Amino acid sequence: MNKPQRPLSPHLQVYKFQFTMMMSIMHRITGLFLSLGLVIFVYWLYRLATDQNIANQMIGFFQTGLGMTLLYAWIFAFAYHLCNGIRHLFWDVGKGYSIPAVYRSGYMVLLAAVLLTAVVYFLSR
Amino acid sequence: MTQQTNSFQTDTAKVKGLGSSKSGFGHWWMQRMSAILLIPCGLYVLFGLAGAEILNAQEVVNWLSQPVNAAVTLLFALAGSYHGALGIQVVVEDYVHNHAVNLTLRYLTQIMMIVMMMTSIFALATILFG
Ligand code: HEM
Repeated sequence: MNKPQRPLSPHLQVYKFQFTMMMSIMHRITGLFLSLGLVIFVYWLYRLATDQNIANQMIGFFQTGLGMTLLYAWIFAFAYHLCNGIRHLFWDVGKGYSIPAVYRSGYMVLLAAVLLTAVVYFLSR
Repeated sequence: MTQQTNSFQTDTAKVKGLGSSKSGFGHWWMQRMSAILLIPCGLYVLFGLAGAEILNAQEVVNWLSQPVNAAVTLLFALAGSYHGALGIQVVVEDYVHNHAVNLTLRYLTQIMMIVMMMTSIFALATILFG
């Protein structure tokens, strides 16, 4: 059998925790979480078109404590995934690969995601 | 991995059609293209809904009755379904090593994507054209 010459994934169990790996796994978790959110969003669009009572019940749920928590988790996930996605796109064109740059863009993404979430919060007051 | 042959081919031309599925580059590329589309569409829908004092369904329907709002929302739902399905496929490929389960999950992901696309087209067409 040929021994693969490709790089292997790091073994997470023996890896020291690092800021950059948290940023990376968060992109995956937010992506999956947003996929679930989009299912609910599309169902809501369907109900807006077919039965406004149910659409209103859904709005009502997202105004309860649990609903608001979930809603803002989704808004933050979207803000984070969007900003970190832009970071990914810069890497894809070959920019920002030095270790200091990776940390700097990581902090910028976190800050931008928090700010974007806050802007949405104050806009919808 | 470390082939050092001189070639006039671009890096992109070298990777197209490689790998066991022959379609990895297209997958990677469409993930990026849908991401770029999702930036403006996603922000538009987010701020459209956050800014419009939406407390009830009728107000949202009024907002969606504007053709531009409906079009951008539809584009967001379609591009998001596509981008999410491509993304979930990568996650399944990474973690699910049982071939039958892997294929089943990827099949369900694709079906789900198609159902979501059909549903959003139906919903926005109904709101726009009654
Ligand atoms: C409805 C909105 C969105 C959903 C449901 C979604 C979902 C996902 C999922 C499930 C993944 C796979 C995660 C992984 O492979 O680790 C992913 C990856 C990705 N997303 Fe999104 N996403 C959305 C919006 C965006 C936006 C607005 C951008 C903007 C740039 C973006 C950029 C990316 C990129 C670049 C990747 C690939 C990351 C990688 O190579 O590991 N996404 N997305």
